[in-house]
Amino acid sequence: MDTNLQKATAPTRVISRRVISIKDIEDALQFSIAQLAELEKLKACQNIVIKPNLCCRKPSQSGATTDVALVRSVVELIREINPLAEISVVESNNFAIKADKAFELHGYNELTNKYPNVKLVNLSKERKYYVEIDGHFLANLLIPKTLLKMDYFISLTTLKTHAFERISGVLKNQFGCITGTYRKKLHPFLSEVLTDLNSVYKPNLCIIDGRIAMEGFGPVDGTPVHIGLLIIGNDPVATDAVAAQMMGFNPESVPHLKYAAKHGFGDIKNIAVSENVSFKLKSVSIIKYMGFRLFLKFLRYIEYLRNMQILVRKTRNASSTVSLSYVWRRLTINFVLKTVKNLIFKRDG
Amino acid sequence: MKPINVGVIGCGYIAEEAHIPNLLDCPRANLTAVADTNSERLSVISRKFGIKRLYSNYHDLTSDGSIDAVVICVPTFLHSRVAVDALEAGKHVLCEKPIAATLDEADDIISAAKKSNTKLMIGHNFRFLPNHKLAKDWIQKKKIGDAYFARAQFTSPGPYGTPGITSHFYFDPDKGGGVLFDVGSQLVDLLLWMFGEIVGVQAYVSTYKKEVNKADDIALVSLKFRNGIIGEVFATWVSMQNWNLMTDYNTLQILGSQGRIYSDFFGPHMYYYDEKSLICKLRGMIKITPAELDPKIPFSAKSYSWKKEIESFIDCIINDEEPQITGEDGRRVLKVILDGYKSAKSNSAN
Repeated sequence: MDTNLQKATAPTRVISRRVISIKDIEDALQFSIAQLAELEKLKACQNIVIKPNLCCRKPSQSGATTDVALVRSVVELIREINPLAEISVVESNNFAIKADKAFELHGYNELTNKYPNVKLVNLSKERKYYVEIDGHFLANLLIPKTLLKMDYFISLTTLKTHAFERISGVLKNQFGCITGTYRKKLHPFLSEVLTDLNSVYKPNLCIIDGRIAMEGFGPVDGTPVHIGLLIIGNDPVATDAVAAQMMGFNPESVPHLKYAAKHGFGDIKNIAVSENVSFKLKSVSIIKYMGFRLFLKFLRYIEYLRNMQILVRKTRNASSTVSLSYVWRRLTINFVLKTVKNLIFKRDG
Repeated sequence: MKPINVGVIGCGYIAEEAHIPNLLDCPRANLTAVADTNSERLSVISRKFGIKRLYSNYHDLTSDGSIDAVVICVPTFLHSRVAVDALEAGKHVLCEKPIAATLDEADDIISAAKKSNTKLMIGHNFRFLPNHKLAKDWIQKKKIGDAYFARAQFTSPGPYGTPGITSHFYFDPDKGGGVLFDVGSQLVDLLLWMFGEIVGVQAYVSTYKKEVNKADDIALVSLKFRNGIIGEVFATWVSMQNWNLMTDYNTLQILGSQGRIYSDFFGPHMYYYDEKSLICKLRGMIKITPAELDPKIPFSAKSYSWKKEIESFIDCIINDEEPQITGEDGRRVLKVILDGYKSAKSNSAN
């Protein structure tokens, strides 16, 4: 009875380490894998999947995307522990960038050249299967082949704020495992969807890269901040809760964390952190964020009009007055709506 | 491309439900004529599907020069006679399962096809179900480790589903009647296709409705494959009339060294468990559907498999390829069925 009680109340372990150099990262990873008792599991695995966060074109120095150096350290460590394991680095297309382009842009292609057992997988291009999950929001989930056969899952994300969810952590990273265009329709139901997703893709190892964090207009347009921290855990909810706490947010105020904890998916209170670091990251309100996004769209729209004006001038070989009037005539409501829609959803073609 | 002109011989249930509608649906086939000795059935089919050329003698259809291929839907004991005539007349043949009632008859059909250099395909349509294709693919890729046991079971009211039928070839053991011939041949073909050659057959058959049926209506066959896999086939006509209550029972179950597959005959989905997969570890057995089939759309397995069977037959004629289910495949199934009946006879003597 006593042992059961002890087991039930044993806190979830999350490790946080200050890191500066690559050597520090390797030490922190080695230490965490030993402390979290993941070594034996890693040795027994054949298909290991690493999911970085490559949500946009911005480089890792901006704090928006996962640094390839960290992925390289993880790959090298796995190869030391289990040289025969097949490692897949996965990402899916999103409306900002295609996965193949993201791999190329962020330097992930060098991984496949350097390590023969590493492959880059664009989940959107893979054969998929419907799997009935009967979750809080999703009834079925389209699961790509690689994710269906994986036996160890590492979620590798960055420490950044999120305008709607306050933080964008490990749980949110699995949103990138959804393939297809219906992803954007799921955004209003993030708490339920993320809980469903993480009941299928529950990471064995969660790594949050806080060497360069992002504050302000996250998760894409924020400001980079140097923190020099690595947070590692094997419970995604606890790892996110620690990240939120350190960033200066109450984990209860993060909607998807609160929802996941409420439905027994993880613990956000009973956590033992190895090194408690606290700092404050600025976040913005939803109204400010939406205003900012709208302002960005407006700027893009102005740029678009300018480009069109230049185009008209070139093609019609007429004076600027004529071309402006031509633009003005074409500015019907439908045209504006269509243009704005294109700007929002297809900005990278 | 010119569509293939097809004729159907025999206008019973299977022709009306499966072959004629799917031939009319297939853009590469042109259903031109049907033949049946029963003039009532002919007029029913003509009215229902608008087919103008009706023959009461199948010889008239086989001698029709405009027809390229025939689909044979006559009772099993007539398969060889009709098929050999059609093949000798130079028609490609899709013959309903099982290939014939005896091995000699099956040999006659196969040699006739070879002599006339035409296509002969046997209608074991269960092979065309997407979940069975997926199951076979995954077994070959060893996704459940090494398969060691397979069980196919199927219950349907069969001829008992039509009230009032008392004299029917289905109820006569000398005419290829019995549930092992009817449904059993389908299940045996499925296992043969997945696991290869069978080296041992043991069977038990029994009759529940003795008052109408002289053949069997419950059959259990144990199979030993050359690669060491043990298989089991169970088929019966003694079933509840409401098929919805039996759908979860009509299944193909395969056990492997590191997982299992449980495939439903009546749905596009299949249940899958792999002890190494992280998703299976988290959620247990998962219900899976190939992405090309939307799980939200109601799916009729039977009609889908017939459609694919017809398309496969027409395509093998157009592309001049070997049919997916050859006469030899049909003969192998028939041999297992006849061995099963032999074993059942000796078992009942004991």
